[in-house]
Amino acid sequence: MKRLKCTQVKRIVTLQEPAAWPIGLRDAIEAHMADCPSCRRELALSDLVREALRQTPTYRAPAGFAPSVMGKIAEREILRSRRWPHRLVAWSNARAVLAAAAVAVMLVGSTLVYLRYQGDVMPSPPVGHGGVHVPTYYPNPRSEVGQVPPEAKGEMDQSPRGDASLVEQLIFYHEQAALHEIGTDAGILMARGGP
Amino acid sequence: MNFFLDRASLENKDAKVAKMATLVQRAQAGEREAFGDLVEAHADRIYTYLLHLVGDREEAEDLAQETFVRAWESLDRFRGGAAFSTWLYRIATNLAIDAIRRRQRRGPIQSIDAPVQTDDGELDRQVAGQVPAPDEDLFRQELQRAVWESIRELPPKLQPVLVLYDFEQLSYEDISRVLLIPLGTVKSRLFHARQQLKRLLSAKMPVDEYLSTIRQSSWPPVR
Repeated sequence: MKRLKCTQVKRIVTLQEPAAWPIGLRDAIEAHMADCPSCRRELALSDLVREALRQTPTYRAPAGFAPSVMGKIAEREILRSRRWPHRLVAWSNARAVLAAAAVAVMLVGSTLVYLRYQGDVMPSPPVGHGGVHVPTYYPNPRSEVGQVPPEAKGEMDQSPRGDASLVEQLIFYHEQAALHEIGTDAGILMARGGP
Repeated sequence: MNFFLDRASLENKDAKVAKMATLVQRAQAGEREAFGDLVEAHADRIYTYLLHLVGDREEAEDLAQETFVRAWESLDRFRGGAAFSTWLYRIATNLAIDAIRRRQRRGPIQSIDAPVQTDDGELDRQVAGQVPAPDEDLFRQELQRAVWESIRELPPKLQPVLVLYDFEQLSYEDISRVLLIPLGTVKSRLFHARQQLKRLLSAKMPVDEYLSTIRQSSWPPVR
C-alpha cells in the first residue's frame, strides 16, 4: 500500500469530503489518519467548516425586490436616452468653442507678426537704371532693424508728430520712403544728363 | 417507489430548466415580464450569496439589484452555454469583489448578525429562516457566525470560491465557469481559502476544545 505524507493527506481532506476520496487512495489515507492526530484534526475542522456553511440559512431578498429592479432598469434606460443627445450637444459645443478659440489665436498671432515685421518684410530694394543699386530705407518706428541710419536722416523729411498714432506714423514713413525713391531716381537722371 | 420518486424529481428538475430557458429566450427578445420572472426566481440566491460576501444588508441589496440590472443590459451577450444562474453568479461575484476591495480600503463594517442601533435602542437582527437555537446548538450558531466573519476576512479572490463551493454547492466546473479561471486554479484557491479559514477560525473560537469533546468527526468514513 502506498504511504502518504501529511501534506498530501491534508490536501485531499481539505478539498474533498471522505465520500469523494479517490478509491485507490482511500486505504492509504485511512492508514495515515489512524496514526496522525494532526491530519485527523484537519479533517474534523474541514468537516466542521463545511457543515457550518451548508447549514447556513438562505436569506430572503427584501420585499419588493423584483419590482425595484425593474424600476431601476426603466429609470436607467430613460437616463441613457436623455444623456446621449446631451452628450452630443455638449461635444459639438466644445468643438465649436475650440475651433473659435483656434481661429482667434491665429488671427491675433498673424496680426502681431504682421505688425512686428511688416517694416522688414518688404519687397527687395529697387535697382536703379543701369544696374546701380539704390539704397532705400523702409523705416519701421517699432523696429530697430528698420531704423533710418543717421547718415540717411538728412535725406528724410521730418518725423511725424510724437502724438501721432501708429497707423499715421506708418503712413507717414511710407510716404517719405516713396518720396525718397522718386528723388533718388530724379538725381540719377540728372547725373546722366537729363531725361 | 424510490425509482418513481427519483424519476418524478428528475422530470420536475428538467421542467424547471426548460422553463428557465424559455424565460431567458423571452427576456432576450425584450419581454420585461419574463425578465421580471427570472429576477423573482433568482433573487433570494443572489441576495444571500452577496450578503454572505459583503456582510451588509443594504450593500447586498444594492449589489443584487445592480447584478440584475447589468444582466438585463447585457442579456444579448448571454449565449446559454452555462446556466443562467451561473452567469448571474459571475456578474454578482465581480460586483462583490469590487465592493469588498472598496470596503477593505475604507475599513471594517458591521456584521450582518450584529445588533442594529436605533433611536429606541438596540434591536436584534431578524434573519429569515432562523429559529432560536437550543443550548446544544449554541456553539454551532456561534461557529456559523465566526465562519462567515472569517470568510469575509479572506483575500477577495479566495472568498467567492469557498462560498460558491461550500454554501452554493456549485461544482468545480461551474465555479470555473463563474470565475472564468481554470479548474486547477479553482482547486488551488479552494485549498488556500480553507487553510486560511481554519487558521482564522481557530483564532476566533476554541474549535479544538469543541472537536475533542462534542464533535464527532466524519473519520473513519462510513463505506
